[in-house]
Amino acid sequence: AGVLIQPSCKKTLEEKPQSQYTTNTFFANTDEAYMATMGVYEIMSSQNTYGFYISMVFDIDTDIAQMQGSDFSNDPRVAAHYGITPVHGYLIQVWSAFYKGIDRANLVIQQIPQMPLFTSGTDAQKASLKRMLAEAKFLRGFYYSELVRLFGDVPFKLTPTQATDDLQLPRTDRMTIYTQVIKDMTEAIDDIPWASQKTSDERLSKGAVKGMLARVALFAGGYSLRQNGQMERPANYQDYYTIAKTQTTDIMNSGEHVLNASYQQIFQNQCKLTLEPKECMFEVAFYNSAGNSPNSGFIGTWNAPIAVAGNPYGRANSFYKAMAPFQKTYATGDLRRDVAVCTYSLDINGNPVQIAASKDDTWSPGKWRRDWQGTSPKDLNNTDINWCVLRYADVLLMRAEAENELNNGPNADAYNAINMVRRRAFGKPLTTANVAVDLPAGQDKTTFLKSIQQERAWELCYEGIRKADLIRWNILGPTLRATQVAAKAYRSNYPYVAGTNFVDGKHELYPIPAAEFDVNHNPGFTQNPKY
Amino acid sequence: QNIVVKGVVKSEQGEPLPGASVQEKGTKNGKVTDNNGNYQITVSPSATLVFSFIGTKAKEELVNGRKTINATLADLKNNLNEVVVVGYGTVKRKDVTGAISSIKGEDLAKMPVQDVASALEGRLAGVSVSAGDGTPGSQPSITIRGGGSITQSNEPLYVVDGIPQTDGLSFLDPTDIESIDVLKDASATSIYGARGANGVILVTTKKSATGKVTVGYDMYYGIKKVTKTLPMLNPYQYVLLEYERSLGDATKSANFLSSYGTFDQIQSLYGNQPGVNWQNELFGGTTHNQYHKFSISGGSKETNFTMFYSRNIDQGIMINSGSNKDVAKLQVSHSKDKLKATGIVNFSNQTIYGSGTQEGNTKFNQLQNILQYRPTLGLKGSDQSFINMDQDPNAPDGSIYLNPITTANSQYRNTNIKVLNLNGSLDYELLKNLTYRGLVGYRYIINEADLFNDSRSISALRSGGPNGSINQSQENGWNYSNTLTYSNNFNKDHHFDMLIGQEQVYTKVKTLGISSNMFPNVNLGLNDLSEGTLPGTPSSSLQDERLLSFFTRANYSYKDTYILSGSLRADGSSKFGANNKFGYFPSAAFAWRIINESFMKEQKAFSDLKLRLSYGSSGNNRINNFLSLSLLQAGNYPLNNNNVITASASTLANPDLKWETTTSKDIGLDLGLFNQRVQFTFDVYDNRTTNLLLNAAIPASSGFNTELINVGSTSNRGLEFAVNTVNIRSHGFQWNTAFNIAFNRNKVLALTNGESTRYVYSWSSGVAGGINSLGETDYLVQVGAPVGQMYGYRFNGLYRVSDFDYNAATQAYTLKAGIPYDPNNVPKPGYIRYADLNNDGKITAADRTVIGNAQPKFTGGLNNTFSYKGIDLSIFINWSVGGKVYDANRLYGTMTQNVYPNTFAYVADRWMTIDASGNRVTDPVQLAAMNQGKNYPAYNGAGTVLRLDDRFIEDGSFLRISNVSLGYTLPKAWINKLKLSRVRVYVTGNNLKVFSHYFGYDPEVSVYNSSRLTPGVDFGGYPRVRSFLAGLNVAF
Repeated sequence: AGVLIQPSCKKTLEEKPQSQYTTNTFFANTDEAYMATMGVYEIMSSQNTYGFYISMVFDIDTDIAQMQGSDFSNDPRVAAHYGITPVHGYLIQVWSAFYKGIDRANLVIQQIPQMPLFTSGTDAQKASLKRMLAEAKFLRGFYYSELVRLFGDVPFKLTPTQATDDLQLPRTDRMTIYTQVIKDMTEAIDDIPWASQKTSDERLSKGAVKGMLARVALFAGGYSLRQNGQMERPANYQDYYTIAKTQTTDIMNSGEHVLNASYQQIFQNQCKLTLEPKECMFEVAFYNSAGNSPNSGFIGTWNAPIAVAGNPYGRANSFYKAMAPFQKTYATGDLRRDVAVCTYSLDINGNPVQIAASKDDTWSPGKWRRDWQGTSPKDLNNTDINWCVLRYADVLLMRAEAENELNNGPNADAYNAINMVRRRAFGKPLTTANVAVDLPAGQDKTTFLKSIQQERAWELCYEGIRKADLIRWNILGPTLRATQVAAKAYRSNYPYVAGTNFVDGKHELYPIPAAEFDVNHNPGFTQNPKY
Repeated sequence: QNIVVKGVVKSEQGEPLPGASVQEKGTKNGKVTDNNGNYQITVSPSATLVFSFIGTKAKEELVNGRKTINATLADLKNNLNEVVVVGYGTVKRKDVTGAISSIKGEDLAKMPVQDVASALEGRLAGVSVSAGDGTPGSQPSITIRGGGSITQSNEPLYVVDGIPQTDGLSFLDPTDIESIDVLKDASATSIYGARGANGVILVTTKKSATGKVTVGYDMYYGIKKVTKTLPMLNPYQYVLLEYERSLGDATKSANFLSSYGTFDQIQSLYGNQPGVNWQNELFGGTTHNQYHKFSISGGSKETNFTMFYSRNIDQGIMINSGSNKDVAKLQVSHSKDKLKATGIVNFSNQTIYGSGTQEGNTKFNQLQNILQYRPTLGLKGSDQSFINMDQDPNAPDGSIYLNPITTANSQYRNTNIKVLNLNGSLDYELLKNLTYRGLVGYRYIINEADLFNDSRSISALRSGGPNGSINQSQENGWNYSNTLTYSNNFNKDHHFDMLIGQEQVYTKVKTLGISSNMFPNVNLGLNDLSEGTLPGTPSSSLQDERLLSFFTRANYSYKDTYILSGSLRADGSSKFGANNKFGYFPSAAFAWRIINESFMKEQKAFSDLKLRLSYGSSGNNRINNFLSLSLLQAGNYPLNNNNVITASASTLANPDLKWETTTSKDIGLDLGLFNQRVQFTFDVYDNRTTNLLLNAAIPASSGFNTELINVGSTSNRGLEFAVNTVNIRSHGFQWNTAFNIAFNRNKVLALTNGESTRYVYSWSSGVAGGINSLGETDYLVQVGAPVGQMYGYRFNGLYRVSDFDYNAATQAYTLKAGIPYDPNNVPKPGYIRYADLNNDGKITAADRTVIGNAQPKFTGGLNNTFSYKGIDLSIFINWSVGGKVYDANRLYGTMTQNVYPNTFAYVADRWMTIDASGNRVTDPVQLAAMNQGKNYPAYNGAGTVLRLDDRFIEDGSFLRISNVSLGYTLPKAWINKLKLSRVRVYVTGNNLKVFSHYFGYDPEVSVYNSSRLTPGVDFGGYPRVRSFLAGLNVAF
């Protein structure tokens, strides 16, 4: 019967997808490379990543915030109150999302250099492709750094997955991964333009890449929970602080980024969907024309003050709660306090109603309050507000921390960096010394580090970095227990359970998702300590 | 000289047969009997008369000069000359070499169902029909001989009047079936090549009849009632549970006090309160179904026609649900000389409405809503007023708890499916022994799913306003086949026939979806989506697929005793990889009609004895399009609040992808006794499916969750046994019995290279995981074991007080050393204890084991029909033994630690943590004493993560009195006066009784089986009904 079947028959049977693209013919031009590169970014624009889980669940409970409700009656509470188990649904979603992003980046990193235009296109085409290649490298590095930060050692893969690959990968030591991440991010710097040289949008700028490289370096050089159950940092940790110092110095010297004179304006801009690349250096883009998933986040509802359903600004079911004792630590005149923590809720008409002191445990982050957003929201829970991953203030504080660490105490650069942040906080001119608000001179290394730890809470609270900071400083457990004691002393019925629930040597990492063990039988693929 | 011959033609039962044919043999001279069975014909005195009538055995009489010849025609039932439909042709039953089961339409028509497939349940050995649950309008799935595929569809190929169908049989009117023939082994199915591996169901619809124009009206009207409701906690028990779980939490206790009063008041306030039984409110009523059909048929010998219109209205037992179906059909046939042409137009229009029991994610699933909604309003008002409230006024935590009645009424769901089938066939006798047959089919299916959530719905409350969507899919398809059949006898002893043919199938599917949200109020709803203030993102897609085939079959028989048959098909399918576009499917079979051997001539007992042997292969190409390609799907990254289209890989490419192949061996024995009054059919088979298409779960660290590959194999081996008997046939009384029983053993022989087990989620995907849904995989596929193994923990009682050391100072219980526990859910007395199967001192996922299997040991059916004069009675029962059901409704009901949800009544007998005065008991002696013998865990004893254990795996064996039907055909003498030719009245009881130990609504349930790996789950399944109906058939 084989004779019967002519090649023309086979042609008849060729499949021609009409509603999807095929990989074989993709990467034919810069437009297609651009679609693939944007696909790498897309991973961040989801509730599985920065729209919810990573930004608003995995960052608490800490000394400054906690999840509302002290029992284990829903997924966010279980995760936040240190009750998480390997079967928790968020884990596999976060894990899958990052690895999807990594595979997408791997494809771009493999394909773009093979495009004829990459070598023989016009200068504009070549520059555009190099920029995309650099963006993919940065994002791959960023996604790996986030996986390592949350899960510790993880499987490591640098080529796009093929059906024939061995997919049963062991966990790779985090320092090996950090080495690659730092290499990728460093390579990315050259081909990515400074903020002033690019369209104002959420694509990466050179400053963002450098700033994130500094952050990753501090994580690599900081403490993390190792498989032996100990919190350890690498012996050569100072090398990583050096990277952080170099990169933050470059950014400060570039003149590309400055602090917005008004702390409040930063967040009002975010609420009004206005980009401000000088201060907000790296933002994840959120926007959905219909207000539903994908590309929508809970920013401005989950982590905002309660707003009654039906009010013109829209409902906010507030679950991410600010700690009242933390709010009290702001100094008088610190303009950040009333931006960071909102002590009112919104009534049906959208008017603020002060929350009674006895219920101050229901105070919320105020940075993305509904009444700073527009009216008539598209959805009760979802918003278009971007998640800002890195602000210039963070760059300054990293600079101060790196200088303090490398010089065995604060130098003038360290003081200058932190004081700029403090002066803005009190509404003072940024570059003029001000005894009233500047940090007292003469602090030793330890005291200065404590100042930075405190300043980072005041400045960057609720922006997704607190828990990670406490872990890299190796003070998460003690801080939680002290917070619980302080909260109960503040008010005996103040709800707070993290201090009791936290287990040292366990909860500094999330467990590897249980589902992954069903399909990955590599003996080198193990669970984190005590899970 | 010709003479006039007269006479009466009667049936075996002695009744005159109107419309019987009387033919002078070898001529065109023929007559038809009148209403009283009389005929008159002019023939030569030496002629032979041939008497024939539908459903009887033809009889020949030599006239021999006689002037009066009366004939009695014996029933044809199961006669060996009965025609069996096979692929692209027909054969006589005696010449069948493969395993083919058949059923007549009249048996199916007794079942008051909308879908033909539902009527097949239990009727044929080896054909299992499973409706997932009782949802009106749902299409059951059919599996033949166990099904070889484990992740792809096991649905057989449906062929209606020669035209392959893509979407089951729901477009047919169940009363329009002439016969259904099911091809079970590969020698019969391999002629269908890449589509035959799951078996083939050949449906022949009723043909037009010759004769005067007959007008018919058929109807029935029935009432339905739910068979069972599940016992839930009554108000007193519920309030006590609420007290227990709010105790110790200031906010919750305050809330309890204001909702229900003090502890001391519980008995007096709720002790005698009946409360609200939400199951009764939602599906406790009586609903009806009805059916009406008008038909006209008739015509001459050359040209005849039949047409009908029918309407079936089936109200669902849940409020606001049901399914309505209209079918209209016209068939015209014309035959003259060597040509026969037939055209069929069939149009069906089915509307399925209602939000059902399963919609919503696990937390908001409607059935769970019904089961968990609290049974009393407490102090806040009367329970009667509670029934009328849209929301629970006292929902905890600012959550919304919606009245299930409101849910059912506020979620408008309407699916409309219109199917138009146009078929034309042409038979032409090219030469004396050579016939051409051409068949062309065109189909157009439009499926529109409308959805609207009004302002009361949970969706509107959660998303900020009413919202709606319309999703449409349009399928256009055509197919044609051309066959040539040669058939001849040589030397009387040799018969040879051969078929060659070609077929092409094309299907194009287009989809379109639009939605709109935030309607200011309901306004015009779906009829004007522009009124929604927030338009959704529109969607559309287009795809097509092709199949191109060539096939041949040859049969040779010697002396009608040795029959050899072989077939070969070459199938090309667009779905498969570039390296595997064409596949070849051969088969061979041999039958030995022992009854025709000379040594059998003398005996009288056997009327048939035949041995069948067959071997062949066929394929399964029921997979989605484009799976062999590496595709990029579009997405979006919204730079600067503008959509920027992204592209990212959605699948891992596999250019080697090809069909699953099933190789089947079958040995069959057909045995007839006492002139066919007793007939046995026995088959033993061994099917092996290789190159299984596995959507293999792969580590997410690859960037993908699954990969489709051809690996692994399964086997299905089994026995089938069918008996048809005529027990009594005398004096107008007849009793027939049809019995079948089938045993199938399924086994996974191999999975992916080196893989011996695979874990699967059923009702809760791992992605949803965590609280309020299943945290762990609950099914296991394992090499050497059958598909459908339920996987979980072994329940090992509760942690007892004696398992702990008690510190009176801190009132803390510490588990004694050596007692295994879960480090992520540290136990207290009264907590569930699972068995530590791996003896590592901890309870972890590694302690799970196989705790049940959904596959039954055997299934079968028994039909008894009785007739006496005009009365007919049939009783049909069917059964399934040995399969397990996974009662996920009950498992979900164990989440008792959080305030609010109601649960099952038996939870009242749980481990108590409070004493008679409502105080939490810490004293070990008292705690132990009051909970002695308790085996249901404390309110918080199940932990926060749902885990499957063997308490929820129940025996799903059942015996169902499926259908009892009693009819009476009015005597001709009465109705002739009314100018009627036939009147029958009947009453039917359907699903009268189920004998089963199952806790849930019905043991025949399987609602989370889309991947085929997780059969037997009951989660949110629609309850089944018992129905009684009365009907009428009239013909003018």
